[in-house]
Formats: sequence, C-alpha cells, structure tokens
Amino acid sequence: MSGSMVVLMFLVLLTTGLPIAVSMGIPSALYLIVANIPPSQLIQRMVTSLNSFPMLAVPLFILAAGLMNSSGITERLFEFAKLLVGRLKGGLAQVNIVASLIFSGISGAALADVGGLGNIELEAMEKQKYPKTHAAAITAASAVIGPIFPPSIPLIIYGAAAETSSMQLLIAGILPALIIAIALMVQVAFFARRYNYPKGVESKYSRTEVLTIIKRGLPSMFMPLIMMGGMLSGLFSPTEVAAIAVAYSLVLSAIYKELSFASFIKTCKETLQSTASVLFIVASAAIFAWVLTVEQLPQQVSALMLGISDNPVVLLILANVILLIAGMFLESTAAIMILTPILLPPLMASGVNPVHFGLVMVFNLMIGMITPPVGMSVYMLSPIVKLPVGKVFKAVMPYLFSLLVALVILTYVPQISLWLPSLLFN
Amino acid sequence: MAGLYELLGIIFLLMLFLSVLIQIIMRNIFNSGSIQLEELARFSLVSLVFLMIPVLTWRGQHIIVDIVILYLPERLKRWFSAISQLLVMVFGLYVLNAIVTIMEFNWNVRTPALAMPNVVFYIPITLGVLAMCIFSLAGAIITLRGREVVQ
Repeated sequence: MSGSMVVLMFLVLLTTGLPIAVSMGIPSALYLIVANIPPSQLIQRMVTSLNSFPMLAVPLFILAAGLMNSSGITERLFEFAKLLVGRLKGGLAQVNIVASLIFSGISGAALADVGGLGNIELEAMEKQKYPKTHAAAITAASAVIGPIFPPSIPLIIYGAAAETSSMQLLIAGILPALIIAIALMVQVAFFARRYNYPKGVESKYSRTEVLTIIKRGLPSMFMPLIMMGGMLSGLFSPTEVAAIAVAYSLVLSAIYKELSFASFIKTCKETLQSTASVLFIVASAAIFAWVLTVEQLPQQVSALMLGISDNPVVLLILANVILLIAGMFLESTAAIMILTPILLPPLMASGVNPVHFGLVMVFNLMIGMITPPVGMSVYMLSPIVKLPVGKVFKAVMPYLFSLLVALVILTYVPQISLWLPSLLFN
Repeated sequence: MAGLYELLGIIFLLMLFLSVLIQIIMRNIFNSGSIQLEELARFSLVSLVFLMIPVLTWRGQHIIVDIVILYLPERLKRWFSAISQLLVMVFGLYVLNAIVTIMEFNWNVRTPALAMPNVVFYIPITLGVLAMCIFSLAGAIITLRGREVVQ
C-alpha cells in the first residue's frame, strides 16, 4: 500500500461525510495492517501528539473566548471599537474589522469571532440598514484576522507540526494581522463611498459618553494587553498566557455579574466540543502524517518542488497555490498537520524561514474559510443572517481582493513576520 | 451516558486550567515549578479529548465535509450516514486493539513525573474509544431504522 493510495483513500472517505479524523485514521490503520506494523504505533502516535505542553493552550484559549462571550465582555469591546472608528463613513463595517482585531487578541479562532462577535456586529449593521449580504461578507472576511493575531490556535498547531517555537510564531503574527486589517479597512472605505454606507455614529460622542465607554471597555481591553505583555516580556509561555486569560475572564465575569453558573457550564461544554473536534483531528493526523513520512511522500514532494525550482519566490508561489486549493477543501487543522511535513522541507531547503512560512500557511488556510465549497465561516454565518450559503459566498468574494493583496505582501516581505521575533528573540 | 462523559470532561478541563494556573503562581511567586502539575495538565488534556470523542459521535458534532452528501436524496443520505457510523465503530475497534497491544507489555510502565502506571493513564482513553464504538453502532441502528438521521 503506497503513500499515494493512503492519500487517495483519505480523500474518498472525506467526501462521504465520515468525520475528518476517522477519514485519516482508517487509511492509516489499514496501512499498519498491510505493512505488518504493530497497532500500538497508532495509539502511541495519537496520544503523544496531544500529550504536549503547547497543546494545552488550545482548550484554554477556547474557554477564555467563550467566557468573554457569555459575560458580555464582547459587547463592551464592540462599543469600544465603535468609539474608535464608528464616526467614519461605513463606520460599522470598519468597527467590524477593528472589533475583530481586538477580539482576535483574545480568542485565536476565526469561528469564535464569527460566533461571538458576529451576532453583535450583524445586529448593529442590520439596524443601520446595511444590506444583509454586505454585513455578512465583512463579518466573514474580518474573522480571517483572528487566527493570525496572537493568540492563535492554528499557529500553535503549526508550531507542533513544524517543531517551531509557538512563541515566535505568535509574536510573528502581530504585524501581519495589522496589515490584513488595514487592507480590509481600505476596501471597506472604498465600498462605503460606492454603496453609500452610513456613518456608524451620526453625532459626536459627548465627553461623558466617551468616559463611560472607556470605563466599561477598559477592563476588557486589558485582556489582550496582558496577554501580549506577558508573551512579549517572556514572563509567560503561550499556554500560561491562555490560563491567565481564562482566570482574567472569570474575574471580569464576577465583576460584571453577567455570568451565571449555568452559562459557565454551557461555556465549558462548548469548549469541550470545540477542543475535542479539533484535537481528535490533530491526533489522527499525527499517525496519518507518520504513515506518509514512512512512505517518503514528503521527500518525493520535496524533490518534485525543488526539481521545478530552488528559488524561494517560485516555491512560495507554488506553496500558496497548493495551500489556497487545500484550504478550499480541507479543514484547517487537518491541512496544517498533513501539509506542514510535506511543504516545509523544500521551502526550508530554499531558505524560507519556518516562522514566516507558518504565517503564510495559516493565512492561506484562513482564506479557505470564506471560499466555497467548505468555507466554514460562511456556513456558520449563513443561518445567522438567514441567507443561503451561496449568496453569502458570492457577497464575500470581493473581499478576497484585499485578502489576496495582503497575502502577496506577507509572502514576499518576510520581514513583516520576522521583524518582531528577531527583535525579541535575537 | 453522554452526559456523564461530558461531566468527566468538564472536571478534566477545570483540572487542566487549575494545574497550569497553580504552576504559574508557584513558579512566579514561590520560585518553584512543578513537573507533576504539568504532567497532570497534559493527562487532563488527553483524557478530556478522548472522553469527548464519543459525545461528538453521539451528537453528530464531529467536523465533517458534507458537500457531497448534502445533495443526496434522503434515503441515500441515511445509508451514507449509517455506513459512516459503522466505519467509525470499526476504527474504534482497531484503536481498542491497539490499546490492548500496548497494555499487554507496557501496562506497568510509569509516567515520568506522577509515576502513573500506563494502565491508569489509558483508562479515560479506553473508556472514550469504547463508548465511541457503542455510540456509533447505536447511531447506525437508529439511523437505519429511520427514527432519526444521525450525521
């Protein structure tokens, strides 16, 4: 049984609606049986992939974001973002992007942004008579920022797959996230004139209103600051920062008195569901990637890519195309676990930094979350805005322009990703 | 039963959180880190993931790609769903076999920090995989009887 047969079987099983984790597990198990390898290899690989300190950050970041949503902290962040950019033309669309940027400093997952902030953003935009499709499109597009700005669950998973420092990866995400936000804001400004979007806030805020919003929002704003400060100062690892985020959310929830015991338990259950569904894929992908390694598939792909060119610019174009296509069909965790060991070696051989490539990979895959046919952010938004999935996909397409421009900039100016880590980690 | 697994999952989640938090406090205030706490946190993560897998199976909450089955007629969709669940069960049985193989020779091997025997470390994993097999079989039967399409 060859490596390509294992991949083919995975793809066939994937399309039948089998859980992604099992679609990877079954071909791997069959390979072990055919190759007469002890089955213990499977469970050992699965357990080892989860039994790691960086992976502990995954449930903790999900829990922190859930607590922020359940305790009204997200609404305060939205109000704060409104104060910052609400007076611009198309203010609420701009607020949508800024709020996503701030929220991504807490959550680390695109879907948490859509599910948490999405409702608040869409409701506010609907009140201002934004076309539903436009509101859904900018909400989906801005959620792409989430997994680029630290904390980021996909970057932590990439760090484990590439055996690269997750701390460096997270710090590397700061400037790229800002670039993506700026690219989206420029496009929104253009759309605001073209479609005559209203201002987010018609009249100027009074001094009292400003102070009230700041007072309400400031404790929530401390969360990203604590997290960034903790990581940048080297005081805490990403996992520890995640635990502090949970503790801080609990303290804020107690102060705001908006989190009941029932909603705490509900948040825990949702955290368990998200964590298990992502990490089951990570565990299965560990044995799947091992099988591909035994079959020397990474070496074959490496030879093929380096045979085309050893120029990093050409190889990055190739990697971007592969990742954009993979992102359209594969769930991001599975794609990271499978493609990292395949694509990283030839790119590293041509001189590409693994931290830089991590950012490029995650950004590509996040774009896949808003493209058909498997754009999960769009599938999540569609029932919220009560529009067919196809209409939301169509509406979000124009935003691919600014995202792809940002992708080209981030791919070919590695200094944007590497400057901060090199400054901090020498 | 799914509720019980979820409850155990919550306990492990809180244990994970507290282990990391206490470790931060111990390291930064008392200047003494604890490898036991780190191992406890990692054990909690492995346990909660495996305990939640059957819950996801039962509730149809696994991440799937449904672009093909979405367009199938209801009857065919039901068959696909039942076969999927049976495949989940088959995979679960293989994983159980893998656990048995490990336990045969290494049941008494202890973890480095907590000195927890493998047989204890693997209890939540075994319980999770076993329940995944049972839930997927039950799900397949229910789906085939047409009472409910469990994805």
